[in-house]
Amino acid sequence: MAKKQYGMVIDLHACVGCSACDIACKRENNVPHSFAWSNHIIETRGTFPDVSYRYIPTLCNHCTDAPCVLNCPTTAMYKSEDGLTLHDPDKCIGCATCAVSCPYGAIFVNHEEPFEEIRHDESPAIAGCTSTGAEVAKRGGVPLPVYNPARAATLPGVRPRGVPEKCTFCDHRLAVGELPACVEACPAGARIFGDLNDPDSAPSRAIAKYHPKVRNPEKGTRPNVLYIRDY
Amino acid sequence: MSEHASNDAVRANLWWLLSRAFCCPRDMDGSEPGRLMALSEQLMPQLRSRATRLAEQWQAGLADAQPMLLAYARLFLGPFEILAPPYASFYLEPDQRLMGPISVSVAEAYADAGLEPGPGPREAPDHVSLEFEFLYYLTHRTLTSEQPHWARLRSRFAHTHMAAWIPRLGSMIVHAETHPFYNELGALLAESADDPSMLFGPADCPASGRDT
Amino acid sequence: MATTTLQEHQTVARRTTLSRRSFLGSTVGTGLIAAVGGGPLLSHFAVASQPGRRAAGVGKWVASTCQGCTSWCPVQVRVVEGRAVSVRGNPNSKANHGCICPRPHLALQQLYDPDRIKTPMKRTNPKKGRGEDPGFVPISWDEAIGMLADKMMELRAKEETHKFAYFRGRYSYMRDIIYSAVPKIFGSPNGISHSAICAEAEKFGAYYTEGYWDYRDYDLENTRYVLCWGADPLASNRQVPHAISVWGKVRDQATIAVIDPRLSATAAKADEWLPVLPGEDGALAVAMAHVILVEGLWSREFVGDFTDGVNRFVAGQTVDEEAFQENMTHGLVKWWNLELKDKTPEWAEQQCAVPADQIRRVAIGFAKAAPRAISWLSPGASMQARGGYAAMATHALNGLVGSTDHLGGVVQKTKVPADTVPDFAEYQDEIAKKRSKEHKIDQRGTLGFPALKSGKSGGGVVTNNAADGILNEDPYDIQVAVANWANFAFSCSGADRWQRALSKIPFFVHITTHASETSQFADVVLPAAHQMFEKWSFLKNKQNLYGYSSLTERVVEPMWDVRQDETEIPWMLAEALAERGFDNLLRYFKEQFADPETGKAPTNSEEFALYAVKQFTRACWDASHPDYGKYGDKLNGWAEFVEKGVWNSHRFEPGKIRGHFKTVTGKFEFYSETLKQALSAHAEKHGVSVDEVLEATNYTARGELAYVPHAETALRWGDASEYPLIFFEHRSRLNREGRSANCTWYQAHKNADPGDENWDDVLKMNPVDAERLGLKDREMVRVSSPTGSITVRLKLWEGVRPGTVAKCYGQGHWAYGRVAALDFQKHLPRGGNNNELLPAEYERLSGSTARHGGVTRVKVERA
Repeated sequence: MAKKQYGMVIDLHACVGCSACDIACKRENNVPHSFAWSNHIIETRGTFPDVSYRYIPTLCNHCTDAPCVLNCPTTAMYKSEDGLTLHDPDKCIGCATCAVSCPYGAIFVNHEEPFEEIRHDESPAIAGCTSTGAEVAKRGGVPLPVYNPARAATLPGVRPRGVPEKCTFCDHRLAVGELPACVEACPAGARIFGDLNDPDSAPSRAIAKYHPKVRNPEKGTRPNVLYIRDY
Repeated sequence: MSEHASNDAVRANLWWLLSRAFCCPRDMDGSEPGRLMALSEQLMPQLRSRATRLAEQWQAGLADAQPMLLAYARLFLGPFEILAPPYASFYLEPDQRLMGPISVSVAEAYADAGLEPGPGPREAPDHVSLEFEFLYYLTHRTLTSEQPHWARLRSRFAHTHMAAWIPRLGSMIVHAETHPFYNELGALLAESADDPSMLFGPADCPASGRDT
Repeated sequence: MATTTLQEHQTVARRTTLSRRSFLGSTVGTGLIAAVGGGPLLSHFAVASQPGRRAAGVGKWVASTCQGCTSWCPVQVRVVEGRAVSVRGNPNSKANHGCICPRPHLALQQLYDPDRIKTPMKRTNPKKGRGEDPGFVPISWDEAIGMLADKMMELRAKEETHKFAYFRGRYSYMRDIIYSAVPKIFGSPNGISHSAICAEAEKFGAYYTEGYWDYRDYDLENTRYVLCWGADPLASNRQVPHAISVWGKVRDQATIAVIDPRLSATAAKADEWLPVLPGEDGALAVAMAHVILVEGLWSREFVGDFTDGVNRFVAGQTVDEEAFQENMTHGLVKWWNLELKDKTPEWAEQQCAVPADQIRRVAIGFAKAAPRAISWLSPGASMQARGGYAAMATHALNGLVGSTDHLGGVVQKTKVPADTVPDFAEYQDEIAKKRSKEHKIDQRGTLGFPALKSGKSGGGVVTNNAADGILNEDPYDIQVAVANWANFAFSCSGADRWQRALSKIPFFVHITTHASETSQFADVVLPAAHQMFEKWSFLKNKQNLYGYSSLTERVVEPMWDVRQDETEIPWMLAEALAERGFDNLLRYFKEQFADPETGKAPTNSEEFALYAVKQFTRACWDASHPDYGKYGDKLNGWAEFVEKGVWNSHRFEPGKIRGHFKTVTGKFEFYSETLKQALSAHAEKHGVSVDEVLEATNYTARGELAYVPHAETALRWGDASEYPLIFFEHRSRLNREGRSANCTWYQAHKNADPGDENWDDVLKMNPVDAERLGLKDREMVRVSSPTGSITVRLKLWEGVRPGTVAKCYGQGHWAYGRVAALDFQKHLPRGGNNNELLPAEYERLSGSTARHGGVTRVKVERA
């Protein structure tokens, strides 16, 4: 039996640009607010009143020929058996070549300590009456006021300084039979996730039915995030 | 694969026995020293003699249980000063507090690996005995499922978490000088400071299944 | 650490040994120690019962309800180790069927927001005013509630209990305990709700055409045309997640036209965008009605026909009423003769700036798709100074094409059975009985504020005018006030009036999760439980043609010393009042509330909170309730309700209300006899003519025109020469009713609102205007109206009509927390609050705040 190749088809016709995917991703993966594993491109075109607006959700394309993997000097960035592009912080030397290599800007490097402003927040708005980020986290017994412990199953729950981070297709959720958080959170049903090597999977059927597009096909990265229809 | 598997199994059996070694002596069933003696022959040379001596002291300790029980209590239980706190938090939390973020994240690692507390009394999740049993369990999953996920988890837990405090626990036990069994046990742990892979296996997991 | 004694440890150790010895050691093929059967031999752990699933890591899903907007979606919260970690739609709900919009995710950041108030606090600086540091210090609940009770007892002693006011903002259906029972048993008429800053003018449209004072539901699944009047269902009210989930299908099978001066989220996903001049929706609507009649596209089945079948609706020509036989409607020909006959698309283009051909195309498309067509009225097209008639006109289109109460059209709602507060008349003493009949502080029902809710003069609230009532001591001075879940110092237009009014109240208590703008004027601030995670209550609503009752549950134990606002705090107040000699309220709570399962009376605030919810929702889960199972689900007891979280009604069946409307005539009224009756009664009450009422309420129509939907020229503050641009505001898909700006996820994703920018609050201007004014993209500008000014960043954007400027509501907080405010300590806002630009103007017939319709002009200058 062929190996799995996890992938995602995004139906732009169904997408309404609500950003629930982006927010759910930040929550699920404890992503600093300045990073966006799940992201979007917005465009307003034309001149009043003939104006159109597009919102294109983006994320790591989990490319088959991933430049970040090819260029990583230590194999910290690697392809998993399921076709995910993953990162192993233990092997990482923090050179950020991966981030530079990615044509999609999908890899983010923690140049500073992530969530520094929350974890070292020690001056409350109203002394004695309101709290601080550090206090809320401590009382909750977690690193951050809002924290998802499940992320820590396969990666540090919060990535340390010096380490890059990116979308993992929620490998920790896949491992326990759940869909990626952005897929679960999409109220429009616009994110279709599954095994692209299985011709009967939902994304494969969507690919067969419509003419899918990928971002920057000229880069030759063979993305596994594909787009169908128009916004 | 088979060589890795047998190495993994040997190491896992050692972890299982170390987990037992940190239980209350009353809770041991008496089979542990014999198991360890049998296992020691499969261990690599650096560990072999230490394991053999540990098995002998274990056997002797169980034969005369009261001193071992008292040593156990002084080292790990209190009620007054605890000589060698068996909790990761003591070594890793800035303020040595229990049930802080470390305990929580360890508990989450167990849960995420499909474990829930057993039917017996509950210990803090970052107790050394639980952590060694967890390593054993992850190896069991590695060897029976062949999913790379489990080996990765084990390697990460052992090297990023346990290796950071187990040698220090070992030193505290050794310095306490309570009982020959615990002295040997502490020494075995303390020696892993220089070469964590001796006790915890290679940091790079042979079974991680990467295809690049 | 390790606090067990040796002895205890030995005892438990023996137990472990026993269980462990039930295993017999064995090995698997690899030589690994294992249990019999090959599983891992474990003593501390057990393998979780669901193989392949996380055990504690997966946590459990606990039901609740999101109140980020008034869709009130049933949700589930994933709780791991006592902490809320994620949210999803409640799959048991037929209304939102497991879908949620972005808002519930943001609620997690509200729950664990470090800027939440963690203890009651009191003011130490007696000087009140914007910019004054209140000098808050923490106090105990006993002291806080005691201070309030003391002040209330002073009013009792003086027999001036009516000088107590309760201001209600957002609420659950536990509301009537604190909003109704507390003031009335104490002796005050002043339960003042926020409803009129929300969308009462919208209800006005449906009520004075089809006799329904409520929001409608929409059969999106089956529709063939959606005509949105300022409605932006992909982003904000109503039923956002359901609308999002079916929009792809709606686009496949229907035409979508959006009327909005801004390219809204929904306009961006529509076939037609009609960028109407703000406040001129009425003109557009009557022109569409004109086209539908002239083209002969009205519903013969619903409306009727000319007796000889020949269409006499010709532009400019009056029609003989006798020639038309109406069916389920009333007054079509009167409407034509009074208003529609001259309202051609060409006329409308001059008024509303939408091209005549587009008006014609959309009107024809809408009517041809009917009756599977939706004319979707929203606050945008009705919460305007002259929006009452626009609301009627836009809803009347549904009558004209027969799409009201029809498959694929606009429908009313199913019954959601629930009980409310038990009768409290016998707990009202003489003072209470007398003083609760005093006039209310919002001046409802006065000549200029008819507030004709459900046909009654003074039937509705005039929320925003309460500030003037307080400032002018008209009808009297408010001495003690409590505001809950309300931030009128921020959320009401003419916000500075509230800031002065709240400063004037001698003793003011604010119940809130965050120290908001309103808190800055409080003497005592009480920390409230978060509605979605920490509170027992329930909500009723509808989406997708299902009604529902949805619980909010105490999903996690609160981290701070907070109380449930609508139940626990009244209980604590009742106890404090009883200690001070007034025990009527406490007796009422103890005697009239009980756990329906055990009959036990509440003995403390938490029991009271829980018993009250159980009591009010009995019809959903208690087989002994007379309404049990009559209208929908039969839940098997309270425990099942808690577990499922939601009770679903039967699906609404369109077609049963047609012909039985609750109007004066029982028909769908194009000539509103219902409004005629209401206006006449109000005029009579004040001894004036209806024309004088129209004059007092800023309407231009006179005579018979008062009773038909008609176009009114927009009312705007500011002279066009000094204030050249029309300002209008809109909603954000991330707003949790103006309470989410302190969430970093809100700020970091703000550009999901078309035209907006992350971490900012931009004024959107068409590049044509910017060029004319010599302004550049992204520079800071001062925006001034005749009543106020703010400084914000300018964003040049083609999605806004030249001559108008748009800004989203929700930012510009100068309190509320350290993310929402640019500098909390210095009271510096992030962006600017629209309500400091908008004047306190009203749609007076409904009492609504006119926050839409371009109610003010502004000038924009480089800052």
